[in-house]
Order: sequence, then C-alpha cells, then structure tokens
Amino acid sequence: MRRKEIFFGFSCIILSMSAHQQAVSDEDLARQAQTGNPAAFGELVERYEAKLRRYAKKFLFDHEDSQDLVQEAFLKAWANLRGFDTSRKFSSWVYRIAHNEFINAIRRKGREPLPFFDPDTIFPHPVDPKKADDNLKSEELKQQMESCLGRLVPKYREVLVLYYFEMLDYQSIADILRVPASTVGVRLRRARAALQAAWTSQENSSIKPT
Amino acid sequence: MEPNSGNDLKQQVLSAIRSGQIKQRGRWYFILLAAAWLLAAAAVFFSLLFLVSFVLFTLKQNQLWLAPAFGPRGWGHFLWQMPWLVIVCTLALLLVLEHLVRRHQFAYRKPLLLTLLGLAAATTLAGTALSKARLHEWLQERTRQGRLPLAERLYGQNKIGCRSLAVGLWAESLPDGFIMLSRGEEVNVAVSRQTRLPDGYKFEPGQRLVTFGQCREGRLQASEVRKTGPGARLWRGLKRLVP
Repeated sequence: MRRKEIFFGFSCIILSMSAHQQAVSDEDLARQAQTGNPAAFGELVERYEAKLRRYAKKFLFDHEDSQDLVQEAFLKAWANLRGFDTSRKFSSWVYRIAHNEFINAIRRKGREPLPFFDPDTIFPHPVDPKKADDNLKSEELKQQMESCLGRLVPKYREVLVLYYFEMLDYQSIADILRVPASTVGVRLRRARAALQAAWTSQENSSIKPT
Repeated sequence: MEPNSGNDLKQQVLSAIRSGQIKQRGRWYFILLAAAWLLAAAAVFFSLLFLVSFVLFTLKQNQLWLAPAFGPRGWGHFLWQMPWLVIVCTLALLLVLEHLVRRHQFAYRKPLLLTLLGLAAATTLAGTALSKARLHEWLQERTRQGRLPLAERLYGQNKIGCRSLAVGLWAESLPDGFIMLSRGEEVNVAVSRQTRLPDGYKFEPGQRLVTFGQCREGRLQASEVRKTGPGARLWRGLKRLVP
C-alpha cells in the first residue's frame, strides 16, 4: 500500500512538472535561453522542429537539403537569440530565420525566379474577408496543393504553405515575409488562382483522348 | 517522419552549442548594429534635409516660383532653371531612407507608397524649416568669398549678374527702359514695342515690379513687366503697349 502511495505521489509530481513546462511560453523559454541556457533552447527546438521541417518540406521539395536547412536555421536562431525582442512573438522570429535560409537556398540553386522587388507591396489593398465556406474550399485546396504546389513560383508557394499548412494568420505571415498584411491577401488570392490553373492543366493533360 | 528524427535534430543542435561550435552573439553586437543602422538613417535623413532646403533656397533665390505666371515661356524658364540634379539625388536618397527604415515593423506593415509619402512629407516639412534658418545664404556668401571652393558647383549658379526673372523696386527711368533694384543690385531693363506692360504704365520710385525676359549684353530684354505689392494682382492679364 505504501509503495502504491509513493508511486501515485511520484506520478503526480511528474505530471505537474510536464504541465508546468507546457505552460511556459516560447518567449519565456527564449528569455532563459538568452542567458546561455541550452536546455531552454532545446525545448524550443522540440516545439518548432516539426513545424519548420514541414515548412521546409512543402516549400523546398528537397528533403535532404531541408533537414540541413532547418538545423542551420536553429543554429542561427541560437547565435542571434540575444537580438530577439522577447516582447514580440518567438514563432514569427524563428519562422523569419527559416524563411531567410530557405530563400538563400533557392537563390543558390538558381532554378527558380526570385525577384528582388514585389510591386504588390507598393499600393494598399483591401484585405480578403474570410468566407463561410472557406473550410470546405481549404480541403479542396489542400488536395490541389499536394499535387501541384511544386509548379508554383516560390512567392505563391510560400504563402500557401504558411497559411494552409502552418495555419498562420495574415499578420503572422506578414511579419515573417516583412510585407503588409494586405499584400499577403493579394498573394494568397493569386496563389489560389495559379494553383487552380495548374490543377486544371494537370487534369486536362491526364484525360486521354478517345 | 522518421522516428527519433526530432531527437536527432535537437541533439545535433545542442551538441553544436555545447561544443562551442556555435556561440551566441553578445548583446553589444546588436546594440552596435542598431546604432549603425540608426546612424546611417540619420545621415541620409539630414542629407535629405539639406537637399530639400537647397531646392527651396534655389526657388526663392531665383524667384522661380513666379515664372509660371508668365505663361508657356515662364514655364519653360521654370523647368530649365530647376536644380534637377539635386532633385534626382533627393529622390534617390529618399529610396535609400525607405530601404533603411523598411526593416522595422512600423514601416513594412504599411504599403510602400504610404511610407514613401510619409518620409517625403517629413523631409519636406523639416527641409522647409531648415530653409528659414538662412544656412544656404551663409554658405552662398562663403562661396562668393572663395572660402568654400567645393560648394562652387552648388551655389555658383546663383551668381550676381543678369537674370531672366527679376523682382525688385523701380528706381530710375531710361530712354529705352528703366533701372530696378533687385536683391541689392541694379538691373538694367530694356523695354521695346513687344514688351507687355501693366495698365497705367507709370512707375513711381519704390514701385514693386516683376520683370521677365532674356538677358542680352548685360541687359534684361523685358518681354513682360508686372506690378506686385499691395493692391496689385500678379496674375492679372496684361495689355500690350502700342505707342
């Protein structure tokens, strides 16, 4: 009986410790890591590793490279952690570092167009309101994306990945890409149109003539 | 996803950190970096202020803002005399300043056009305030005294001598024109049959005039003369003097 009580008490302590860890925000962990605490940073790596891997895999389509790039992103995050303002969101900051790594990788390969300047950032645009059937359409879109994402230019591919796979809102995406939120809306709209065109083209080419 | 891939990545990152392969940059690095960006932005901003105030100084010095009142030829004179090189440099520096501030949230969250217009408005207002401080008048005087040879290219175009547009006071009548005092200098104005003169061609000493024409042999061959000052409208139509 005594053994059972000890075991029960010990389990409660473990559970409450892990609950406490979950309750610690990313920004608090970053603050601890800024003092040179690798364990706190390790916790952040655990929290964001899967997200950044998915982001890299969907955006870059080169699994081996993507693993190296995600690791490089985390190492750069550690190196520059004392430059992070803990009053801001850690997720936007680490995604921004990953974005820079991925864009540099695309530039090094030189296979895809990456214009220096985006004219969509010049003028204000109305932000797309969310529509009631967005959930249904997003499922249909995800199917199209699984099939045709690689055929889009990086500018459109990235916003689709961040919005539909990483489930980030317009403002978070805007902070990662350093563009206005209205520009994110414009890019998403154009990306969906480009995806639809790629999907239709693929469907048409798969129809065999009778 | 491969099993244990998360642990592998975490372990690799922590191993690189603990072995000292990757070190955290100190806070001083980011403070210095921020200070460098701020200095660069401030240098560009103050250069912009100087250039904007110089453009305003040129407009005022040559009274170019009056030229469009004289119709198409006046507009031609206005466009020809504008310091275009300075204006192009101003626009280029504005784009540089925009690029320097774009890394901050307050700038990149707004469309480029709005931040550019905001920066242009701020530099124009500040440049206008600086132009009231008579900095350029002081520099021009130093240039004329030969103490600022490097500024000759900037201030040399505002040389003493005949100008196509002169604002001043009627001083003395001549057989074929008159003398007016403009910016402390005498301007010899030649009047011909083609000169457009204001109603009531009778000038009194001290009458404020604007004269527009072409410089020939040190004289201003007037194509139009208008009265200015209280009670006189600069933009009123003129009648040709036919003897």
